[in-house]
Amino acid sequence: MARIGVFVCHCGENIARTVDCAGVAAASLEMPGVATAVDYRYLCSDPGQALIREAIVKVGLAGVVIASCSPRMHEKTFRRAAEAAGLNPYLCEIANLREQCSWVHTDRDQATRKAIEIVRAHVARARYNAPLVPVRVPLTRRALVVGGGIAGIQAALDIAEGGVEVVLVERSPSLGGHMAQLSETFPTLDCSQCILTPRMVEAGTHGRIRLEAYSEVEKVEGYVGNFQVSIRRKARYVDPNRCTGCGACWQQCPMKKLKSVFDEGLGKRTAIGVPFPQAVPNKPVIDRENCIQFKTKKCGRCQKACPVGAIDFDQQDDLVTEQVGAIVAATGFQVLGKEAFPLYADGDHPDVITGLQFERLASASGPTGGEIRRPSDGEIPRTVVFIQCAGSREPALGRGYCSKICCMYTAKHAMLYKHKYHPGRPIVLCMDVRTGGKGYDEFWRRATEQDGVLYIRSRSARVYPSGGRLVVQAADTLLGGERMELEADLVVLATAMVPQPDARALARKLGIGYDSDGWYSEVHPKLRPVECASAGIFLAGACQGPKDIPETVAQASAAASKVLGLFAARELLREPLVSRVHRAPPPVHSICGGCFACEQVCPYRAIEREEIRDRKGNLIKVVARVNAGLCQGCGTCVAACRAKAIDLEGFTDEQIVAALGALAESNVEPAGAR
Amino acid sequence: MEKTPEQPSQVAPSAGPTPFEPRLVAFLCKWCTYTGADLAGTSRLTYAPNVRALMLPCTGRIDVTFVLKAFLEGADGVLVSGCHPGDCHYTAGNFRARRRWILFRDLLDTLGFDLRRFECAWISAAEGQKFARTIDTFTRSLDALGPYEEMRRLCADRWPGLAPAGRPAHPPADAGDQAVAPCPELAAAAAQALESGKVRVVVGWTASPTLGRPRLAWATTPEEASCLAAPRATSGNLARALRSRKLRTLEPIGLVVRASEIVSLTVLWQEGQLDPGKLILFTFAPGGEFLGVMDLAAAREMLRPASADQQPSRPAPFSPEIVARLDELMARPPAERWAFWRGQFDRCIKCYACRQSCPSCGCDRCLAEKNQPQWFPSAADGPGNFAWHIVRTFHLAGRCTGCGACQAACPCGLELNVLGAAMARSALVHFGYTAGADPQAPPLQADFKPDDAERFIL
Repeated sequence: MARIGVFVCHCGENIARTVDCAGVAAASLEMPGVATAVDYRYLCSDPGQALIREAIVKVGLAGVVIASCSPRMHEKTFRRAAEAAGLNPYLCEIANLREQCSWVHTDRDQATRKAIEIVRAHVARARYNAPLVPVRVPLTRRALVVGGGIAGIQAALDIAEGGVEVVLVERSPSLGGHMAQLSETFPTLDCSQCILTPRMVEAGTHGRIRLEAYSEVEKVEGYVGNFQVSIRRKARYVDPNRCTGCGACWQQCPMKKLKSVFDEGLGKRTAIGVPFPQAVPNKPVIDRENCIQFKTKKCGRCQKACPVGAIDFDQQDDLVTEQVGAIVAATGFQVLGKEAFPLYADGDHPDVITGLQFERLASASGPTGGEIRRPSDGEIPRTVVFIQCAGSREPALGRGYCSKICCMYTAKHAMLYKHKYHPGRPIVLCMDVRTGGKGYDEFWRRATEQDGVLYIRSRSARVYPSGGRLVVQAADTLLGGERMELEADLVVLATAMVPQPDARALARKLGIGYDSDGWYSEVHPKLRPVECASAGIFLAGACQGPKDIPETVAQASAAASKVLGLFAARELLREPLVSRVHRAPPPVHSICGGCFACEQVCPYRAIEREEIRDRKGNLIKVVARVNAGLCQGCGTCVAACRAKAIDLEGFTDEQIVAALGALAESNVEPAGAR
Repeated sequence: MEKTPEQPSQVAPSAGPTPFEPRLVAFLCKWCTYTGADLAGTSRLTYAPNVRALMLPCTGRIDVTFVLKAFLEGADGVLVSGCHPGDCHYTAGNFRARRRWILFRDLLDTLGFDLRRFECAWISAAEGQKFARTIDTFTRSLDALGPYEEMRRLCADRWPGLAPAGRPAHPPADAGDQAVAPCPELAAAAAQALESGKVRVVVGWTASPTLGRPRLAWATTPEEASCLAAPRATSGNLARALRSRKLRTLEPIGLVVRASEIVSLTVLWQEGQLDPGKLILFTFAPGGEFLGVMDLAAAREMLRPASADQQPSRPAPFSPEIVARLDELMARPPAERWAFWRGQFDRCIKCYACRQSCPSCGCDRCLAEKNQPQWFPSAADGPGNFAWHIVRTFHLAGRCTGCGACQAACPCGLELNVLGAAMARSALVHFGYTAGADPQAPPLQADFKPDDAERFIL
């Protein structure tokens, strides 16, 4: 028979006022398995804890039920006290007599009866408590950062500076992300590339950062502290070890009229080349789709031009596996293309451009050398209409969210245009102007007050070409919805930020959640904003939702500090309240039948397949096994298991059924009868 | 049912008529509702003292068998409560729980169970008020309903199964009692497949001199294949044979199938229980003609049900007669349904023929045979039978194909297929799901949608 001690706390008057604590203790003594039961004024006090410790040692208790406040309050305190007396802390149960009994009831008899039943259920439960030891998880002190935009660069640099090796994976040929494409940044108007490229170089040359550019995450296995990540290094057709980045190859490439991805289709590029001159690493990539050698086998001019023989048309994709202990997802965003807006000149007029294209026009390294010129004829536009909220805040289009950065960058665009072409007329059509942030509203006021940008509160309906210009139809929403028609030479759409098209696929590889829009989910929007529900995976930047550069950098540093904090311990200790699959000696082996319903419902991919073999190595059956490092203890698998071959420590079926049985027992014999 | 609340209940203490105190068991998720209940305490709200709360990590952990167990242990009402949709600490436990609650309530409703005694609620850690209000309202409602006499009577009447009344004899042997003749086309095709090594075994039917109807046969040589006969409409479901581990060592397997087996095989395929590449099907049309040797995908294509069959309220694999029977039953008031099923379950002798004949029932050890903990009484008595049939039906929700093998196998003539049809309709109406309709679709209870619709969760 179990030897269980019941300790009833008065909590001063908090419990004792409505519950007869001595009566509860006396009734507990009658319960099966109870060896001792006492009540005390303050169990959480030092003498109270000493009382518990003493009883454990003297009476030789095998389990303890503390009837006191909510387990959320003092469970840890009492478990520590039990542990100090040599009892496994998980053999200590808390019965909630304060928050869920004495504080919510007024009738002393009823409250006492309820208290006795609560204690009875916990005593029944305690008889099935098992001593548990924390799950120890070894730790690989290396981190993976997915995405080489400003978020990934910042996180990688911060982690590396903290003394931890980082693998930085970027799928495009160069670091930089969207920030490398920007002209100037709000609200300071400092040149984006001037502040970013030194960081890119730093990340590319840091002794503790392994840059895997032009590579993608193929597969992620494992769990916190122990991830195995397969990375696909896509074939560049250029040997990066030989290449010096001299540029001889792309000068010789005959395909000179390809649309530049970096310039958002406004500039030209060659089939071999680097995306932009400051690329890190500064090694070219061959665009197989457009390379004549790959199409007809009749070119190879780059190969001839290369002084170091780095061109290798036979190169293949390469898979490498990295062991890491933590992962930072910094995969960023995309902006909607103008083709998503058929009402704006069918979505394909050259003079209707996106904000990101405008950045390239305004950039000194862009296709026009920084002059604002219409893509159609190269003329300088006299009137530019900026349409805000293009695709954002449109529940009807399935995007109810605000893209957050557009108000500021549109003000910046209008300002830059005005600075570059003084007679120009910038007109902004906006739903609202949202400029929260340090120095942001001041910036917007500068645009309107000093640079004379005209803001009209309106909803834009249509854009159509007319006589070489464009006409924007809109409704003035400030003054009664009056219809307006504005003539413009260039229309700039502040198109919505959207998740990367393959964001969900990567989320599934990582085992992290995303919201209905496809942005990655943090555990708690306020208190745990950079952690994913899957332990060991952190978020940085716009993959989590629209953000500007300062927020992105702040979050990247936060993610980095979380990684470093995780790695500060020697090994990971996890709560042992995890699921386990039934195992027994032969011939039973396990009552798991291998239906893997548990695997289908586990949100953490903690269910593994284990083959049971006989001595000769013949397969007997395949059963489920829980990876205690991955399991978070939700118990969804237990409810899904029809055979009840899986159980959750701390909340086992036996414990719950025993507690239910105890409630029934009190049904037959009410406390008053005792 | 005719008993009024004033009368002393059978299990109440004999010390005179004490006022009725409803017994309310609440299963609460640790992160939201349990914390919300704590908040009610710290806010010093007051509510009825009838609730006994059990804390669990997540609503995803709450097995509906706990709810059943609580009622069997004497609860007058059960509350399950957790985080609001989208707030689950474990991302999706409450979405999965919601799917189960929807199905379980429909099952209870089919049995004529009083649904007012089972409440579900989303109560967040901030909703102490809502917790107190929910408990008060539920307690008042239970007070008005009175003690759960039906359940207590069920638990008090032990061993009704021994009562001779109403138990039919074993269903008559195959009515068309012509001798079971071997099917020459099948035998030839099977012999050829065995000879060529395309399959290592063919599982089918053969004549049985003692049974008077076909019995199961494994043919492992071309000679043995000569005895294979065509399946009859009343034959069991051969997909069940795949539950044999010994048979599984003889892959690739040839299986003699009809439409019902093909649906069952698809369910197994969906659940990852079989590799269709290791299965060769000797397919028969509903009319009894031999269609040839093919793989599962081809057989599915060939025996696809006519699209006219796909009425929204009729789960496709179930026969119209079963669905009509379900409709007829559901038209009765709950008390009559309860009485009907009690009458049915009272006849059950717990021989588990229903389980053994079912291709979807495949646990290595059945919950009914576990005693640590004892989920429900193993005896063939009131509560034991009641719990067994509820659990069995629930475990088959979204997995029952309506083949009727359980009903055909039952020696007591229980209308088990009607229960299966009730769950299948629930799956179709709430989730647009039909068992075995799409081999690529995730199984019903392995899946959820954030917007699974219901109207009963508080």
